[in-house]
Amino acid sequence: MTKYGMVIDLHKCVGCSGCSIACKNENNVDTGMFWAHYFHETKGSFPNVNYKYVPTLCNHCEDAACVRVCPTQAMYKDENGLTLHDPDKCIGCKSCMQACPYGVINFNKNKPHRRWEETAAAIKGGTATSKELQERTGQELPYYNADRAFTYEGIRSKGIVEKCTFCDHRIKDNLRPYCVESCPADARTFGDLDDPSSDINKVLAQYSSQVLKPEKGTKPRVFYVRG
Amino acid sequence: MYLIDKEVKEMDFHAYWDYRVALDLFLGGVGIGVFLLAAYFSLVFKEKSFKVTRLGFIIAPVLVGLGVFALLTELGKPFRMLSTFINVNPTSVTSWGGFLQTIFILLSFVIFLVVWKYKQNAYQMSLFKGLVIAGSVFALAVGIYHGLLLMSLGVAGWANGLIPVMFLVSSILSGSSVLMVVEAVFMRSIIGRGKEVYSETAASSDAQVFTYSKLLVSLVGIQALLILTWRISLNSAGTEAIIAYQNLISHFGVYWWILVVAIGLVIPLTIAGYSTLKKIKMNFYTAMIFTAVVLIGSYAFKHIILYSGQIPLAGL
Ligand code: SF4
Repeated sequence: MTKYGMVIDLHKCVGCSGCSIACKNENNVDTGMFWAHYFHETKGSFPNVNYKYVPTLCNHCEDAACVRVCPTQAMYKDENGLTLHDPDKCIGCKSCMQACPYGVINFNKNKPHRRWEETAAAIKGGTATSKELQERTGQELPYYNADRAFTYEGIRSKGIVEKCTFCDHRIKDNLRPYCVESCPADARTFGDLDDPSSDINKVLAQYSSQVLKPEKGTKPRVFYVRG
Repeated sequence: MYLIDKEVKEMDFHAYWDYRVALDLFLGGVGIGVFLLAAYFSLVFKEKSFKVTRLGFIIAPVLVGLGVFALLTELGKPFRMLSTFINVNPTSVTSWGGFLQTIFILLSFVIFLVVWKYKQNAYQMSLFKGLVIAGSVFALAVGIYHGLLLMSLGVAGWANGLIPVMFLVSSILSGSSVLMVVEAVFMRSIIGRGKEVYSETAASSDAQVFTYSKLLVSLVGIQALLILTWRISLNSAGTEAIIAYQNLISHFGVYWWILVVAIGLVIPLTIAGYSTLKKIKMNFYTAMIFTAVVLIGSYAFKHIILYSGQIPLAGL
């Protein structure tokens, strides 16, 4: 059985946030929310200071708290171990957001992508307005990635939550998640944890790994090495 | 840096669940409290409690219904609410809540209709007794569900076994107080200017005497003890629980001590304790004041627990 997971090599990661931006493009993620995010941590005092940049995303936990608490089964585990979300079942109760220990679920409080309706230019007299761009391209959402809609709503509607899907629309075509693909430092490895010869298992065999908040008992499937 | 980020986040934290969820917990709690006492009266004092219990049986579902309505307005997609009845998730306490509250509202409404139709005769009917017992079971279940819902989410400020119990006692206390006032107002309108108006329900011509003061002083006492026990339990519940409590005190400390402890516990304990010790009945005005402070305390308690649990834990 396939069991997808990801390893992030914190020694390779340069903290460029390329993954966050790439993810936004790939998944049509609205302003103000991130499916792929980060936190950073500074420990110690000069001269013994340790700085850490830790990319975050949905951990696709084996015992996902969001799946346990969702009253409508809108959050569910699929046969490949992905934690996915059915936008048609979601009632927007935000129980999943409360239960997720990692804060990686976002709520669409307002109509998404409203910024494309803005009529003020970023630089007055210098740039087009978002509205003009929308009109000239003839698209409700310029830069919209239609591929996203193969497995999930292309743009999630007001009143429901959304989160990382490990780019399930790409992995079904044997492509890697876009954050993995676009990482300039090659810090991310994605693959099948149940396949002993997979790249992810090679990295996990080579280094000792950690997960975020293991004490929560959620068994995350995003691992960090060389932190 | 991370710590600073967290502290900034904590200062102006955004609560995913706002006062409308607190209203559901509060109104629903008062509703089930009213029902439970009305059910007790109807089973023990039977038709002698007709007037007050008839009112109780309609107030209860209306309050729970209003609470559910407040909750619905908080949902992103309120019109999809029915989906919780179709796509049931047995591991989700929220999922149970939809059923429990709906069944309770329906049951108590049916009970009201039976009383409405058969008047005093209803109290002798076994169907009525069965409905009242079933309604009480669901009232208790809804009362426990309120706190269990929070507890089940694994959030540090809510993950304590005493939360559902404190919520339940707070609900029964506030509901009982409301029924006392309902009875006081009702009796006053009959007796006119009488002062000791609610007269320890239905007891005058019955061997069993019910005393509000005794019930209420016990409930306030139990609630005070539970809150104290809960506070002590936090000392050994781990770092997260301690930080969550510190968040509660740093954001809501003044409201906690004034509204929850002083107004919601000390004043009612004094009023009901005095009446019980002196063996005197609360008069109309005392009963009104008692209920007002209990309601303020109950809402403040639920609101503060709900909000403070959502403050990010600094440094973790
Ligand atoms: S917001 Fe949607 S996905 Fe999250 S728990 Fe509620 S119904 Fe489930």
